[in-house]
Amino acid sequence: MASKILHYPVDNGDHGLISVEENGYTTHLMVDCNIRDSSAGDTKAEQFDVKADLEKILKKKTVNDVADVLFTDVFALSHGDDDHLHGFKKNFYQGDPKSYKKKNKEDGEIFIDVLWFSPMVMGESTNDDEDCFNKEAKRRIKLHRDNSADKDLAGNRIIIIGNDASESLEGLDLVRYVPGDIITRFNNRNLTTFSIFIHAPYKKQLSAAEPEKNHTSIVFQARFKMKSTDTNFATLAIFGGDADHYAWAMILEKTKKYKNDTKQQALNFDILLAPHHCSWTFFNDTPEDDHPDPVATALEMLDYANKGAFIVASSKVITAKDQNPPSKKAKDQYVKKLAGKSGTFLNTASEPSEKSPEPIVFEITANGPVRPPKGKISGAVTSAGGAGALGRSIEQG
Amino acid sequence: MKPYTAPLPAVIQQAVEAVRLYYNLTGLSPLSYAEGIIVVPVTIPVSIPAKGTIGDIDIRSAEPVLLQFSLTQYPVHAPLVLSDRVDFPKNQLSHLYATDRGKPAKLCLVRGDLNEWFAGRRIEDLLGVIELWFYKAALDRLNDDGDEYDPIRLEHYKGHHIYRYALMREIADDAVPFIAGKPVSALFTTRYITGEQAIERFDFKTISSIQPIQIAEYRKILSNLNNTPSASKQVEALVSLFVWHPDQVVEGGYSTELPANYQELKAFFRQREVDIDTIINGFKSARFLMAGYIPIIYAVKRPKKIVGFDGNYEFINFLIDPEIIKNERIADRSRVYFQAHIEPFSKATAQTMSGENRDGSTLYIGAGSLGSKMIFHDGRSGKMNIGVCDDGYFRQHNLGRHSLFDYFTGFHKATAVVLELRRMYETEPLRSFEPYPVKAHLLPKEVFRKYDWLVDTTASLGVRNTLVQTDIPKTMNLAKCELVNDGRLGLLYIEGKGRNPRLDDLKNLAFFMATKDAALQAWRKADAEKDITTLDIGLGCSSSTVVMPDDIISAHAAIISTLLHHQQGRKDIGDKGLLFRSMVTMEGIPQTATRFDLVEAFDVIACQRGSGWEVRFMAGLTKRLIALCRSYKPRETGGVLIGLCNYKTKTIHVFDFTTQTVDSKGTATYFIRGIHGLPAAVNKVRSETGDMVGYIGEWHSHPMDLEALSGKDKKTIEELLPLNQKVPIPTCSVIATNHKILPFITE
Repeated sequence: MASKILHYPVDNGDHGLISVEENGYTTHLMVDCNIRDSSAGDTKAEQFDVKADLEKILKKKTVNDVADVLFTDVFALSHGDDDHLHGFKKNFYQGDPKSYKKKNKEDGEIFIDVLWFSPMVMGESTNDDEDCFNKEAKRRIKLHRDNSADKDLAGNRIIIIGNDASESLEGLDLVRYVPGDIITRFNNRNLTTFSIFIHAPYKKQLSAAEPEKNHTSIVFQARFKMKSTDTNFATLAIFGGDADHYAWAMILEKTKKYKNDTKQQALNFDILLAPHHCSWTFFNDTPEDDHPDPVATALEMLDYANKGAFIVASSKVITAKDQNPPSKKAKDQYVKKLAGKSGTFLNTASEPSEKSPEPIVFEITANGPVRPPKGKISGAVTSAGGAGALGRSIEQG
Repeated sequence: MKPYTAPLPAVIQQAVEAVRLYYNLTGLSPLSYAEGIIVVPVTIPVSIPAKGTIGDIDIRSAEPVLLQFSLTQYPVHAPLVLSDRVDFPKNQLSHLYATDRGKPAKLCLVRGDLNEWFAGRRIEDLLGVIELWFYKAALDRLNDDGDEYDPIRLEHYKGHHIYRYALMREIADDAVPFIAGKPVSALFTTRYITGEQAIERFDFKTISSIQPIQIAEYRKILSNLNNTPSASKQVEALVSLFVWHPDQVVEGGYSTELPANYQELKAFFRQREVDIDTIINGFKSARFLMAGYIPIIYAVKRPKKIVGFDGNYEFINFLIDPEIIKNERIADRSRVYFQAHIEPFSKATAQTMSGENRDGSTLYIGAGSLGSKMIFHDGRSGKMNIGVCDDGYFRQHNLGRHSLFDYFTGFHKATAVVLELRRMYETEPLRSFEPYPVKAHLLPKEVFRKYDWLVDTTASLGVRNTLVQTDIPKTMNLAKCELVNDGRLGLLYIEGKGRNPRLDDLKNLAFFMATKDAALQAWRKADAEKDITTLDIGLGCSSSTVVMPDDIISAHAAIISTLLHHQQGRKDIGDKGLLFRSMVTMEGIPQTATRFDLVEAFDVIACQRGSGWEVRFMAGLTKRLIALCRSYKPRETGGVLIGLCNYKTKTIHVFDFTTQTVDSKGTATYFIRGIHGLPAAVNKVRSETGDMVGYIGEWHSHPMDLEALSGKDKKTIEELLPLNQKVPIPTCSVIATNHKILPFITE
């Protein structure tokens, strides 16, 4: 089994899944979520059923005497906007792991061993799912602040990304990582072939008078090696949430300042999740027409693309119409930059086809990421239905 | 190669069109490859890592291949896949068949028999597997288990060399030379010889190694064995040579072009620093090689453990057919064959049951473990008219569960079984035991007329498809039996009179009845789980045998054989079909039970669009649909159809349907089929049937008796097509009028 990165087609939104294979054990890191009711079953067959796919991929374990509970080792929230957290309330278990019941499993609630978030969870929520996420984060934070005996149980574990110097998260430095840190321990397990370099959010961003969600997105670089002793990375993948060009300029400046661009290759990427669903905000302020030229730092950031790099726009189909996001103009900039690197621009809404999008999957190899073939091999010539028209209302004459 | 300009058979035309659509090409140009064989050039897109292939293997992002079709045997014979590159890196890749020098590389795509795999798949599935093969080749993942080494794939064996791998590994490890300074050891080998049957056999069995000090002793043994005249003599004795690299060099490459004559063999060994000619002459001058074949086993040391064996040695088995020229030398042009290795089986198999006299005549398709037992039950019971069709050969591993014994190794099973039957009834003048050592689809039609029963004992979907599509005399009775769920369940299907219900109706009904029958449901669920865990397309090529004890097979064979005997004249089943289950528990003190259902004829209705598809409704369903149309009149009503389809036979089987859901809406001119509770209900069926039976189409009524699709219907079908193609299933829309059922099917 190879390690993988997967980006689900969720229109304008993010739902990523990193699967790290090491010593026969798979560690799952879910990055944001976007599970729409309309994609469940066959209700809207043209929408990819994210939940059904997760049910196939995620591991199962016994939680509170309930067997075969789906779980992810890590759930990392870049920021609390609805398009990054849609369906959290319904599809993930929130609460004391000791209270997990059979009913929770029957309701399809995925168990989260470790919750990753930024200090922004202490702020105001703007949607239902964020409200639930923040409550769950605060429940876990309290256990850690109170030094509860249960704080390190799976389902109570936390990692805080960033420091806003607020009192509410004081004393939690043992479970906190800040920009420049490298994480190698995931769900109480040290990994030697996978690590995460934290880029953002910086204290300066978080301690603004009114910190803005997109601007303070968690930004990180996922780093894969084939063997722990390898000196080169097999694949570097940057997840940037909805970070805007101001955030990226700061990342660029700080990373170079501390020489992590050379020491850690922290800015290089084989895969870049185009920030904010291929929005123009990565390149400049909006509206585009008022700020038509990309800022130098954005273009410089893209120069760190490795040969053959992929840039993935997790967005709706990108058309010439001005939607922002996704922005056709932003796509053109990415494509232009990738041309010099023999790279590929991908849009989650168009892979393999607009009619029937499926997740973009990268397998990690010694020579970089590669997309496995999509050929669908049916189980047998006798085939039953199920994903066809079953769940769709049909009008006939 | 020249363009193939003659008309293609319809099935190949469809396959070529499917390939064209799969890759969205404007056209494809078949080429003549050989007599009765065409190839279709296609370029396979291959995903390559940004920094190139792993290990710099020369796999490219666009790989040209030739899909090789037999004009007469497709689709029973799956297309073969050849690389269309002369510089394809054959020697660096596993999962290629060894081919003649200069011939294109031939891809080994699936575990086991490609034809059998393809019997259950579409051409699109084959393309998917080809893409996967190249993808894995590019990533150095063709070997399933990265810690093991996949052996060379060889085809066109000239017989077999039977020996214990462990014995050869020990000899290779010890590397004690038989001739001082030469990397060779001597082996005592027997060769199965034929008696009066005049069938040339190339099966050799090596028993032990020979130490140099034993030369005199073995010379005597060889002489005695070969010079003793005996009518019952079944073997002759000879010496095989066992050769290894003098420096035990590890070879990581794949020699898919093996020597075909003595000159090439000498070169092959010369490259490995072995002077094979001198070694052979040494043996000959010591009078330790008899005239006749010279088997040579070459031990190739591989970098990893060989898949399926306990050691790092791969053994290549050569067989020299020496043409002796002057000075007792072997001519360079002497043919060199290679042989398959088979592990010997040393344990005898127990005899099966007692018998009884039986009348009638039966043609058995399949003389495997189940079939041979049933044939011998019939034979031992006195049935004098038996035909046996099986193109397979009897191998060592068959000794574990087959009714034949070691002597028949290398025979066609059909021939061997019939020889035994004939031997059993050597003096019976009215006996009629006929072997048909061919695939079922090649049986001449007149053969079917000679028997009043046909019993398919294979587990082959391909055979089932053949039987379904073959024009078999209406007077013939057809039955099929199979053992499933690791032997816990034996199934016997007997077709109704006039072939309705047909074998496929009954088999698929067994799937559907899993919704009501615990034993069937246990089988379906176990099967569904097994598929997920064992399906490993593109990896490994050795077929694994289903684990099932011989006695359990015998238990089912006995009861099924008894039933068939009792129903020879359809005494209890009449004109109906039969779905019979025999159940055996596999744990603790075994418990057995049987159940059966008599099955009425299905309603068979052809697609009204002329698509070639037909819908086979389980008895009673069409009447119910018509009754619903009438009862809702003047409003329309509808629901979904529950069943499954078969692309190879172009058949949709319908076993149930749903009535309109609470959120459905019908008027005199249209019907909106709702979804309330529907996915859950159908998914339950799917789960209980192991994903075999589920949603297969739509039905709605036309109370005004419109016997055609309305404009709205046509539009809806167009909308449904892409959704159903994803599954894939054809889009089936059934209209129920006050008197008729009208299916419309679009692929």
